[in-house]
Amino acid sequence: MKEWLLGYLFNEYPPIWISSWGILCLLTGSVVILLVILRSRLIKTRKIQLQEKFREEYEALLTEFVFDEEEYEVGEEKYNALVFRLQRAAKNDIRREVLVATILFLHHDFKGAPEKRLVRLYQDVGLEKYAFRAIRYGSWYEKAFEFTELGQMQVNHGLPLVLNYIGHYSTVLREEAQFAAVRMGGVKNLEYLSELNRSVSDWQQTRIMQELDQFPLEDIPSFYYLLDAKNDSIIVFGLKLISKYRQLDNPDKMVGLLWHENLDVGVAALSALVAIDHFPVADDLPNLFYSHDEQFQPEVIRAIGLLGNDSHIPFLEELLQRNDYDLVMAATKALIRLGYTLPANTTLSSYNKEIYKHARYELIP
Amino acid sequence: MAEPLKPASVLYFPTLEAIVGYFAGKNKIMGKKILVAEDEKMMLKAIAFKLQKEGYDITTADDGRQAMELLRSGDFDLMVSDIMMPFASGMELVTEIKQLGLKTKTLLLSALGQENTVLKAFSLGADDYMTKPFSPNELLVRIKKLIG
Amino acid sequence: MSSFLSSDVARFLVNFYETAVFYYAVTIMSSYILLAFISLIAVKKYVHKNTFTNYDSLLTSTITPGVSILAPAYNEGVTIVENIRSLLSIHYPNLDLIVVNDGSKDDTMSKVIEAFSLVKIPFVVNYQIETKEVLGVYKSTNKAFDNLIVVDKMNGGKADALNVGLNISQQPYVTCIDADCILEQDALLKLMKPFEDQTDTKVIATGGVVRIVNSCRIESGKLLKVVAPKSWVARFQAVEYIRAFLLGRMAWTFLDGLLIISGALGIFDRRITIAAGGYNHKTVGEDMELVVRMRRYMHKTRQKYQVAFVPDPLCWTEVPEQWDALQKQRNRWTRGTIETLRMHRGVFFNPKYRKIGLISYPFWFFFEWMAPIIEFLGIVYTIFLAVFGLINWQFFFLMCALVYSFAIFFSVFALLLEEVTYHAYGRKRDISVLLLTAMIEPFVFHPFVVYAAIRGNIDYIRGKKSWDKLVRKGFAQPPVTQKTNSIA
Repeated sequence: MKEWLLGYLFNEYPPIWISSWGILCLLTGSVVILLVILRSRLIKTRKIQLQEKFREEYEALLTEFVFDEEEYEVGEEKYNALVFRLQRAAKNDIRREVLVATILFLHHDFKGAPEKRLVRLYQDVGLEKYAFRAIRYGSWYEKAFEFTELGQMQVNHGLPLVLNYIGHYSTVLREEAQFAAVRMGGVKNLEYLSELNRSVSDWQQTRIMQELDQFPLEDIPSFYYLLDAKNDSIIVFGLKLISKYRQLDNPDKMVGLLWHENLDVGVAALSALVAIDHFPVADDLPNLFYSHDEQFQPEVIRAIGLLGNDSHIPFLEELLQRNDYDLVMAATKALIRLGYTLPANTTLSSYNKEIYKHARYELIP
Repeated sequence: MAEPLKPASVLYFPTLEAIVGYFAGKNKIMGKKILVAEDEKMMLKAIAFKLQKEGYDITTADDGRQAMELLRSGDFDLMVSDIMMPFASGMELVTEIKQLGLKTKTLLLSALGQENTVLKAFSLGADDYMTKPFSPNELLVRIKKLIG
Repeated sequence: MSSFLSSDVARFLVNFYETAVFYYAVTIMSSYILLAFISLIAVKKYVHKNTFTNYDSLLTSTITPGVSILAPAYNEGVTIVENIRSLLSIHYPNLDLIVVNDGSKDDTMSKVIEAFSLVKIPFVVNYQIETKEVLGVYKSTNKAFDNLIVVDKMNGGKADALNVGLNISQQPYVTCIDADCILEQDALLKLMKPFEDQTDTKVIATGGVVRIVNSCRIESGKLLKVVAPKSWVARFQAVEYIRAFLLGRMAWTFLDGLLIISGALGIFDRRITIAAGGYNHKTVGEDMELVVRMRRYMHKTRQKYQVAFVPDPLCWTEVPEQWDALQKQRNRWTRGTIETLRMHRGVFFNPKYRKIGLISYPFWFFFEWMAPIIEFLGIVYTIFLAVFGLINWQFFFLMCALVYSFAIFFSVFALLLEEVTYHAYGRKRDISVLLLTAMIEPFVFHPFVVYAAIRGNIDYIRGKKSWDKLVRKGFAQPPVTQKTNSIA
C-alpha cells in the first residue's frame, strides 16, 4: 500500500485517522450498496416479469377451471391433466408463489362452488406440503404466511402444527396461528382464548368475528365463559361476541361488569346490554351514571335512551340543566328516543333549544 | 343429381315455433347488455367470464369514469358495479343513472357489508346489492331475476 | 501578525476547530448511520408483515372504528370540488369528510354548495377547543354524499380550521390530509392498522410517508405512474424525502421517540388530541408541535402510549420547484421547529419524559435545529482561519471529503431502503438520476437548505409569523401543464 495512505490511516492525530477510516468505509459502503441495488434491480425486474407472465397464465387457467364446472369436472380427464400440470409447475418457486397467490385471491372473493373447487384443487395439487415445509424451516414471515394459507385452504390435518404457535411470544405468529386455528377447527378452538394471559388486539378480534360468520348459527356456542377470562381484552371480546349473537343466557353477569375497574370492560358491557335489549338494567343506569366520570357518562345516558321508559324522563330532564355539551346532547337525544317532545311553554334556554333541534335533525333527518 | 329430399330428414328439422321459441329464449339472454364495472382486474375478468358463458353481452370498465362514459353512450340493461373504484364510486354511478333517467338496472357488488352502506345503496336507487365474497351462481340468479 | 500566529489564542482557535467542530460532525454522522441501520431492520420487518396482512378485514368489518378526514380549505375554489371528490373515494368503511372553509375570500364555499347540493343543517358546535366562530354546518341533500360535512367559519388559519374539525367530528379518530395530496386508496386502512393492533399500550397517533409527486402522471387525483421529478429542485427533495421518512422517522418510531407526524398525513386519537389542547395556532409548525404536546399529555396523565408510523408510500405531494418557494417553505419549517422547541423547552433533558426528554428532544435540538447554525458558523470560522493563514489545508480537505462521503453514503443507503421495500421508482433511469442527484446535492441543495434555515432563524428573531403559502398548481389541470411549471 502506498506510504501516504498509511500515513493517513495510521496517523497519530485522532481527527485524521478517524476521518480517513470514515471516508474509506463510507465510500466502500456506498459502492457495495450500489452493487446490491443494481443486483436486486436485475433480479427483481426479471422476477416481476416472470410473475406477470405466470399470473396471466394462472389467472386465465383458474378462472376457466372455477367457472367451467362441466368442462373441468373433478376426477375427470381434463381435471386430472390440470392437476398434473400444476403439480409440475409447483416445483418452481416463483410459479408456486404465483399459483398459490392466485388461488388464495380467487378463493377470497368467491363463495359457494368456486370456494370448494379451489380448496379441492389446492389439496389435489398437494400444495400444502410446501406450506408445511415453510412452517418447519422458514423464517417468521414465511411461517405466518403459511398459517394464513393453510387456514384459508382448510388443511385441517395441519391443525396440530398450528396449535403449537397459539401462545407464541411473537405477536405476529401468535395472531396468525390463532386465526388459522379458528378457520380450520372452528369455534371450539376459541376456547384457548379464556386461558390466554396476553391481550387480544382489536384487529384480531375483528378478524375472528368475521371468520365466525362462516359458521352456521347452531355451531356458535355461548360466549359467556369468556367473561371469566384472565385478560380484560378477552372479556371485552366476549362481550362483543355476546352482542353480535344476541346471547341472552345470563345478562346479570354483564350487569355486574358495568362497574368493572377497567372502563373498556364497562363500556363494552353496556353496549352488549343495549344490543341484547336488556331493559331491566335501565333502572341501574342512573346509579352507574353517578359513579363514573364524564368519559363514560354520555354512553350511560345513551343507553337509558335505548333501554329506558317514561319513568326515566325526569332524570334526563334534570340533566338538561347541566353545563356540559356532551351530557346535554346525550340527554336530549335520549329524551327524543323515549318519545319526548319539547313542550311549547318550555323553560329551556335558547342554547338548549338549539341543541334540541340539532339532536332531532340527527335522529330524524 | 341431388337426391330427393327424404321425409325422414324433415322429421328432424325443428318446427317453426320451436325455432322462434329457441331464438326468442336465447335472445332474451343474448340480447341483454350488461356493463361490469370493477377496478380489480382479476375480479373483472372472472365476472365477465362467468356472465359471457351464460350468453350475456358484456362490456367492461375498470374504473368509475370509464363506466360513467360507457353508461352515457351505451344502452345497458344492467350494470354490475363495484362501489369503491377510482374516479367515481358505484354509488355515484347509480345516482347518475337515475339522474339521466336511464332504464338500466343496477346491482352493486362490494366488500362493504355494513348496514348503512347497504341502506344507502338502496335509498339511492340500486336494484340489488351483494357483498364480497359472493357466490357467482347467486349473482347469476339475481341477474336473471332483474333482467330475465 | 506573526506573533498572533504563534500565540496561545491562535493555537486554541485551531484546536477548537479541529476537535470540537470535528467531533460534533462525527457524532451527528454516526447517529444518522445508526438510525439508518435501525430503519432498515424496522422497514424490512414491516414489509414482510405486509405480505400476509389482509386489510380487507378492516374494510368489511362492521366494527371498524370511524375516522373523520379534516380538510381545511382557504381560497381553493379552483380545486376544491375535485379534491373533495377524490377524498370521498378513499377506501374506508366508516368515514366522514369534514371540509372546513376557513373564511375563504373566493368562491370556495359557493362552489362546494353547488357541486354537492348542500343545505345548512341545525348544528350546535361543542367548542371543546376554543376556535373562531363557526358560521354554519352544511350537509348534502344527495344521499351519495351523506358522509360529507362542510363547515363555514371565520378565518383563523390552518390550525384553527383543524380545531373546528376536531370539535365537530364525532368519530374516535381524525386524520388531516392536505387537500392537494394524492392518497393511495388504502392509505387509511394501513394507517389505522397500528390503532387496531394496540393492546395494552395506547396508540395516540400514526404517521405516514409522504413522497414527491412532481412530474408523475396524475389523472383526476389518481397517481398513474411514478417517475423521478424532472426539475432539479424537486429531484433533490425526492432524495431528501426518502431519507427523512424512511431513514429518519422509521428509526425514531422503532426507538419510540418519533416527534413529528407530517401535517400532510397522519391519524390521531380525537379524544386525546382534544384533551391535549388541539392544534396550536401560535406556531407555523402546528403539525410538529401537536405530537410533542400529545406526548407530554400522556406522560403527565401517566398513560402507557405509543406513536406509530407506517412506512408505506401512502401520500404523494407536490413540492416547490422554484428556489424562492423552497426557501419560504424551509424558512417556515425552521421557525416551526424553533417555536416547538421553545414551547416545550421543559422537556429538554428532563428524565420525567424518558426517551423523549433524554434522546428525541436533545437530538432534535442539537442535530436538527443547531446543525445548520453550527455549519454556518463553521464556514465563517473556516474563512476566518483561512484569512489569518491558520488553516491546516490537509485537515480541511480531509474533513470535506469525510462529509461528502457521508452524504453520498446516506443517500445511497436511502435508495437501498427504497429498493428493498417499495421500489416505487421502477425505471432504471430513475435510480441513476436519483444517484446523480445525491452526488450533486451536497454542493447545491444542501448549502441552500442551510441558507434557508439561517434565514428562518433570523426571521424568527425578527418575529415573523406569516404563512408564506406555497402556490399550488392544482391536480385538476391536464398533465400537459406539468411540463411548463410556473409557480408564482
